[in-house]
Amino acid sequence: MAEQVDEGAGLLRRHRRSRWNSLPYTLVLLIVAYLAVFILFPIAQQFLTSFSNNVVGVDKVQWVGLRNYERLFEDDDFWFSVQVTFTYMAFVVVGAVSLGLLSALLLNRKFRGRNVARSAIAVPWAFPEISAVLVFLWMCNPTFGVMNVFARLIPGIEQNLNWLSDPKLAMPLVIALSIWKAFPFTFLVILAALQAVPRELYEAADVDGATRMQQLRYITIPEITPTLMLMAVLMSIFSFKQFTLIWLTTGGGPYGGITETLVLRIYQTAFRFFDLAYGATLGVSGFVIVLGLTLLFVYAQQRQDRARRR
Amino acid sequence: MNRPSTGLLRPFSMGMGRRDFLKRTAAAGLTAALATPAIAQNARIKIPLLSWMWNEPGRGDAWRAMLAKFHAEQSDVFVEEAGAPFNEYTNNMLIQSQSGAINGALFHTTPDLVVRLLRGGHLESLQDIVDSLGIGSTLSAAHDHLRVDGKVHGLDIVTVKFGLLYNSALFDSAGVGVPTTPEEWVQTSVALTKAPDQFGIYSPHLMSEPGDFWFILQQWAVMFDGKWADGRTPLVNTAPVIEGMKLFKTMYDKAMPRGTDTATANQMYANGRIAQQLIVSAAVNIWSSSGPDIYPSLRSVVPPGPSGKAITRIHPICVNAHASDDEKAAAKSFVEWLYRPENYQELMERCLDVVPPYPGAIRQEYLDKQFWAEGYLQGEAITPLEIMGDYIFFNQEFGNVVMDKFSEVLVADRPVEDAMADAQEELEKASKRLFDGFTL
Amino acid sequence: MNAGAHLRHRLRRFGAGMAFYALIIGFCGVVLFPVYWMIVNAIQPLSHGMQYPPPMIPEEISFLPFTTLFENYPVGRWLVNSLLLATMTTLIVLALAVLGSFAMTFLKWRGKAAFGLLLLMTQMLPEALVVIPVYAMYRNLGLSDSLPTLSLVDAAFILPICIWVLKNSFDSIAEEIYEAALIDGCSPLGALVRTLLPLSAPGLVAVSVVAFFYAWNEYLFAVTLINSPDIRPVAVGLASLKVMLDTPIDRVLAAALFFSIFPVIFYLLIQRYIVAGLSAGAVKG
Repeated sequence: MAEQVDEGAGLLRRHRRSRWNSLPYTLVLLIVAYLAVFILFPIAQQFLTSFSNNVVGVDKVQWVGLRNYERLFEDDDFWFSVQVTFTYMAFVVVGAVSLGLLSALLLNRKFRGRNVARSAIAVPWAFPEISAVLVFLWMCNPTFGVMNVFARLIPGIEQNLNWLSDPKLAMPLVIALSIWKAFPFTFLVILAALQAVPRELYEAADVDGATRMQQLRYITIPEITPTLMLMAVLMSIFSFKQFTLIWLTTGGGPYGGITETLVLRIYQTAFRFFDLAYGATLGVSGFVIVLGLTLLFVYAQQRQDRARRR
Repeated sequence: MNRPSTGLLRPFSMGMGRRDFLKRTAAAGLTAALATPAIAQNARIKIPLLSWMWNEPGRGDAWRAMLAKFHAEQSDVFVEEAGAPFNEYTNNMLIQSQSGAINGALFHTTPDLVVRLLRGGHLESLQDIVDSLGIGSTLSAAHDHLRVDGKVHGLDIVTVKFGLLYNSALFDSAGVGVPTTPEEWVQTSVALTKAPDQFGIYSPHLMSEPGDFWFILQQWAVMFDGKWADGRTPLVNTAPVIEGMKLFKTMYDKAMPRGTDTATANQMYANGRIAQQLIVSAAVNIWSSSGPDIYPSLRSVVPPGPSGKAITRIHPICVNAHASDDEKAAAKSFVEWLYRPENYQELMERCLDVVPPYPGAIRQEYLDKQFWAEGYLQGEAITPLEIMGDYIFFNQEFGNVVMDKFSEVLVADRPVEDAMADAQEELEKASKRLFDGFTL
Repeated sequence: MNAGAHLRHRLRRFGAGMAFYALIIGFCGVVLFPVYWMIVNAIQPLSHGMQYPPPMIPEEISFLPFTTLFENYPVGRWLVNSLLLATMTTLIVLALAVLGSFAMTFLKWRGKAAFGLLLLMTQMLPEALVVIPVYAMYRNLGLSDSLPTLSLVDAAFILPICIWVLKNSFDSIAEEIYEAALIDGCSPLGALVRTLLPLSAPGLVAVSVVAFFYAWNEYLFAVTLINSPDIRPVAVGLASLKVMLDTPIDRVLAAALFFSIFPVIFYLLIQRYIVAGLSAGAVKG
């Protein structure tokens, strides 16, 4: 009986679909064209710029072939900033996703005041970056910043710390700030995913006598893995592109480019050193590097998609 | 409503706000505002003046007042305010210049930006204005790097010159005198420091504020007669530069609020909690409004080093070479009007500036009243060209190398000599690349 | 004995409950502290915050920073401009994200993976890299210095993420529901509008918030493409305060607080829909 209905629906579907075959292409073309104007076309232009000697005020702009890329390979600062970028990204992605997951698990339980707590945790997401930076700088002021009050509670610390000027603290602080700003988003999305896990799975597990930890390990995590992966990707994007939170707090310092990510380097090179060609080269190269990561994700996403629509 | 909207679609461009209106009318004098009916402006040629100053209470108001005066005195040209906040201003101009031309007939520039724009062919010669006003021979030497074939391509609207600006009340209550040597200076600064309530001195030192950091760091070496570069040869490991950096480090360790950003430091200065700053003359006007308590106590001396020299930079107003002929003529007519002694004097007085671009541009009676100006006037002026050599074109990039290495001295106690030797090596390596294909 | 064991059990549960609450409160406290600190320093006289140790609770309240802020800067106008910009951006993003994620989830076509890749690719590009060509294009077309055209740029930069987020929401709608609508005689677009959109309303809310916040915060394009002071959004206005040497810190913090209030309230008002929207779990088959 059910099979017959399915068959009928299938026929109908094929029939209707034939008239709408071009629909997906029309929709997608619309979006691609829109993105092309604002993103793809400009990027193509930047790609061309990376083969020129376009430095503002240099006598004549001309093609220089691969010279900028040769410079790139000898540029220790570039490679160092790639390293910094990946360190920063790794900590922010892992930090934001795991903190988001933990708080989502915590706040998925039933308790009084749950909604208040959920709202409270999500506030940093709504908080503009520039505001976050301003108050963060104020808190980390070595002379009268409130962070000193907290730090001095730790035994052994009797002096105010130098915070962002301290080479050991600068990177952790910037990472902490970034996670603070980013994890509420992962929290919200993961919380949503948790609520979408079918109750029956847990009920069945209860019947089988599975412990809380086992339920988490064998039901919850597998069910929300696609969401966790999407969050990991969005957080890599967030951290790779992050500019404001780093530039306005450490400016890449305190010295030796300890916190200077690729985006900061691009900005410095193009907008402060006026070297647009090399700025474009850095940008294109950074882009190629993260493209690898993207491909990996899409591959995984596709496999999972196929499994779902099987 | 004399500011018609020029955008394609600007639904919430409400013309002039009530407050703006009051400000402007007050500035221009009500009669002047009433004497220019809105209808007459249709015939006027409108040109934007790009600047970062509109946001600065002191200078912004001064320029608005000057525009109002200009608009009251003639009816051919209408100058509109436009531009971006200071931090983004250079970027904006750069982006605009890259797209072909700057988006305005008139613009203010910074010392770094102007040399780039000049080389990029964006600036119109203003020599005819100088000639017609007869100020060619007395125009300050700081304009020299803006000359092409002897013709000047930008005219100063604010000269910034270094001095040691101190709070005399704090000096009196600590019972210390004005320092004349670096050694005395250190002692004085230490005596004035009672952390965390009061600090002897502040000088920017954060990589998150590279502009301020480098701008003022350069002066520390100049006090010892140091040059950062000569021609294309970097000189950052020479004795005078190293001495300057060592002095900075001593002050940083003993008398500065370490790790404090400039905004907070200026606040502390305004509250009488920082006694001295090595700062340019043009910054003094901010204390007149934001530090009414300390302003009467401000005094200046020549930066206390053996050289007695003070870096002097100009911020020129320029006319866009790519503007239409009509716009250029209109823009030049404004600059010429502005540069007439009576108008320029008014501008300087409204801005509380004390270093004129040519001698007649300032009134002695006004200058005599500026009780804090003495040190700024006495210092021997030295231009960026003289201390940076050809690196004047790569000022920020050069500065970044120095600051990066010097920061290690500040926060990780690396010896100054080592850090500067590193910086020298890095700069020598960079010089080949920087000047390749760069003809002066 | 029995009663004692029962009591112990209840005590233990009570203890665990208390520990749980302590954990939640502590965690929320840490997360919210910067917000609290910003409020404290914006409403107490500046001298209080500039001493060590700073008072943890304001000893004196002053609204002077706010009043001077409103007197000296056109914050109301900035706010209206930002609202307008963010709303326009949100509308553009909603329209395109619905179509895009619909195509990605429910339609069958070649090149889906490539399209998904393209979307993510565009997100990997730092804005600083494209701002020069975008400005040049706008200038040549005479489109700069206008809020609607600025919203087009903002929308382009947040659209790809929104498509992915909405796709995530669409994914949880059973395909059968869509097919049933087709069988009932709907066209694909009709099914989208009549069946899928109502089911994914919370997802749409979530995407709107993402887009709204992006446009609200976006700074680089705004400061580059907007020249006239009277159409400046708040992000640019606030930055102009920060760079001025003579803006007192309390006023800057007041401005930052003011700038944050609106998105936070906006979020709190619609948060119910957001969590629901990011899951849309109720309809999962």
